[in-house]
Amino acid sequence: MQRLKRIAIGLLVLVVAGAIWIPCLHLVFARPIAEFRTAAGVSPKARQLAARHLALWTDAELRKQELDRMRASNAEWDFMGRSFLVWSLANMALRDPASKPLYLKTIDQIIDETLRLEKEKGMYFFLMSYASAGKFVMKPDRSLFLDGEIALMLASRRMAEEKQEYKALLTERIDIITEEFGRSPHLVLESYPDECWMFDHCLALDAMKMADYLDGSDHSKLICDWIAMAKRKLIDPESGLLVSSFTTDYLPLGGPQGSSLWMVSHALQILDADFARDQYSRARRELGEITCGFGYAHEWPASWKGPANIDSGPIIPVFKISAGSSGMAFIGASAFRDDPFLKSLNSTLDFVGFSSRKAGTLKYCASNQVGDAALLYAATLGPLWEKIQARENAGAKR
Amino acid sequence: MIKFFSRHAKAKGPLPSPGYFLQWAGLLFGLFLIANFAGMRQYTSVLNGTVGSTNLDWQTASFLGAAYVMVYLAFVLGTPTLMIAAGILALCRKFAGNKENHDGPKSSA
Repeated sequence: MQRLKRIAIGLLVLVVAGAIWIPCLHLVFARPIAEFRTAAGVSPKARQLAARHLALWTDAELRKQELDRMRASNAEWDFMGRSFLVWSLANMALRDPASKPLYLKTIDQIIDETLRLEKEKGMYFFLMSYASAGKFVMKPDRSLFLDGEIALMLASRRMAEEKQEYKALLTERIDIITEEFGRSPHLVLESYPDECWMFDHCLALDAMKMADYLDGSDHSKLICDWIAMAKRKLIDPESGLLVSSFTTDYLPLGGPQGSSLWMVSHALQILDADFARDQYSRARRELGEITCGFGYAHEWPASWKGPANIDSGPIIPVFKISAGSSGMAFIGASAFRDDPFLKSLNSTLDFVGFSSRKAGTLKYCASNQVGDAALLYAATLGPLWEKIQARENAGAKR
Repeated sequence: MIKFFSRHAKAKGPLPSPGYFLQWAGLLFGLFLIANFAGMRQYTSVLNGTVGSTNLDWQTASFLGAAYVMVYLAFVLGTPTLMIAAGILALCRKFAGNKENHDGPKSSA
């Protein structure tokens, strides 16, 4: 009897102690927002993350190990890791002119190698294996995933500093996308056979916007028409969020997915600022959560039921935390200056990201190269978009 | 092996000994150190679906990653909780001891 009483008291004391500790836990991991993102210059965390990526691009063996690990799960991640890194370094080149030569050299190395691989091994090298199992509706077979992101890489490089060799490459890629939009009966292009992605469309349109900035072309009508179409056809009626993937006949495939939407809302900022803000606010309300000081994100709104997939990552039960959506939420929170959410996400990252620091470099063991590159992008985004917005604002005043 | 609510506890009376909680806290800390020194942290990439190492098969790498996460969470959540619990118990025992001293030994008469 005495023993049972001791057990009961012991358990009660543990519950009380847990109730004291758990709400305080986030304080251990809470850091000032300036450690992750700064208005000017490069934040300490961005510098450390970038140092790790730069090391990967100077050490071929290390890079091979990292890419092999990712490609074993998803070949797309290899490609997206390159894209996010190029966009990040372009922003960093504008933030930190002293280190610009190093960043530009790495950007050029990545772009050149990516273009070489695309040419030598074909687009399927960077796509998941099911891409070659189906048939593309539009001919010839092209993936907007590759065309859009490569165009945005080239444009970002040129926004950071002009490089004549890339001018023709960007124009060629933009012309291909524009011509395909012109041939598409529904103004949507495939990334995989009869599978179109909101993420890829928005980034391709961003690349067009940048090409207009750089070369004086004008794709504003296409962009306007596409946004109008998306508002009419590609909005989930329950949540008001854009669906992430759909067929060439607008049939939604994956519903509104956080792993896409946070980036989509950021990409929309230079296409339609009000629509972008509306999408972020909805995503924040439907997908973003802060519990006991820790921020995280769901993959789907409550109104949509979907299975975990390669984009969402494993879904942690009860809280329905998606690793993919939570990682990409950094981009949304940073782009829309949602500091309370960004700070809480950063606390979660330091809590369960399992950081590994070596000689001034930082990586998150729970992440991978593409995840860390997306975090780096969240920590550095701003200058590229600001250049476009500044030109638009100046144009509007005239 | 430690017996959490051992009959041989140094504590007498209805309250468990704070020492048990501290022993468990120490055990969790020790496990965490071992997992770290064993290099299991790098296998936590299983959380995003990436294999921790191409030198190990997927199942082993996943097991190591999941085991590290468990040990880490047990350490981060459990150790401070156990230490706080030990503190609460120590306070209770002190309070109970003071009360007993203040009230004096109870007479059976």
